[in-house]
Amino acid sequence: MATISGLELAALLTVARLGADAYGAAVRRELSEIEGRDYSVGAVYTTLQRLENKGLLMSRASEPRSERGGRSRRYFALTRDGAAACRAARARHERMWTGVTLRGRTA
Amino acid sequence: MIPKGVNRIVSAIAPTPEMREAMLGDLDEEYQIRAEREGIAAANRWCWREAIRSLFGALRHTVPNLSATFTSVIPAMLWGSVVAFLASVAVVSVTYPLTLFAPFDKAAVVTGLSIFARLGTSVMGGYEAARVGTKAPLWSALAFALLPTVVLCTIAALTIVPALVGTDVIVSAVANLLLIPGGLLGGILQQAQQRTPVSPVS
Repeated sequence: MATISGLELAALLTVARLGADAYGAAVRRELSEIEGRDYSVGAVYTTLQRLENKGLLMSRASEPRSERGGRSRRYFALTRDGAAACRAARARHERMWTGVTLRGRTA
Repeated sequence: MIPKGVNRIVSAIAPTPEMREAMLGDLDEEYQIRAEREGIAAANRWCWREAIRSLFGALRHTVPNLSATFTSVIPAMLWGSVVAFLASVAVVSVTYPLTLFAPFDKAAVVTGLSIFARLGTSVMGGYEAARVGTKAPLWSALAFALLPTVVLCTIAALTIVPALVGTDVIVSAVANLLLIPGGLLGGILQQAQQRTPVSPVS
């Protein structure tokens, strides 16, 4: 299975959360809000393209829209492998947290 | 409609032709919203900032071993420099003609204006650099301030020092060094504003 970075995992989960509304600008807004930093259009699309190249996302173009200067939106959706990668990442995190109790100590 | 230069930059960095159309469409969509809400000038500024950030953001995410901080500071420094340069040109083009009609020592007026303009524009540049360099805002402001300081001090050293004109050297050095606190002050102001809670825009 392809390895994914933190940003890639966040992008996959954002696409999954948005469902049928997961087009570039919506993914960027949601991702920026969740991560607490303002991602540029270029950074988000490069990540989405890389995930598509890895076979974890697929995309389709909508009909051209007037509010976008006659350009279409590109909608993204998780592939079967993308969903499996998200589940694997979750299981890995749960294993990491098993048995952990955080107690802060003063120096 | 988004500026042509932005269109060219985005077209250059888009991974595929399909993605280029989607990216340009997204920018156009948000541009229209901002233009209606904040005006054309603000929408243009946002668009240019987004293009410059996208350029380096795309670079960083394409070449993973480039330091995230480095790719955040460089565009911020350049953007801050562009803003400060344009502001300097605006200040000089308005104030310099006035000095021609000054009834007192023109040299003193020009020196005063020069120091004032450098401090003012360095605050603006530092503010803008910190706003764009979100990964390392204060480093971005400092990098912005150091770039022109080093350039101007080098020019001053090469042109003024050999002539051994004492007071000019001191005035020039002070004016150039003012860029550093000015730039940092701009960065700090931006950070302070960033951390102040604001009510959401409806």
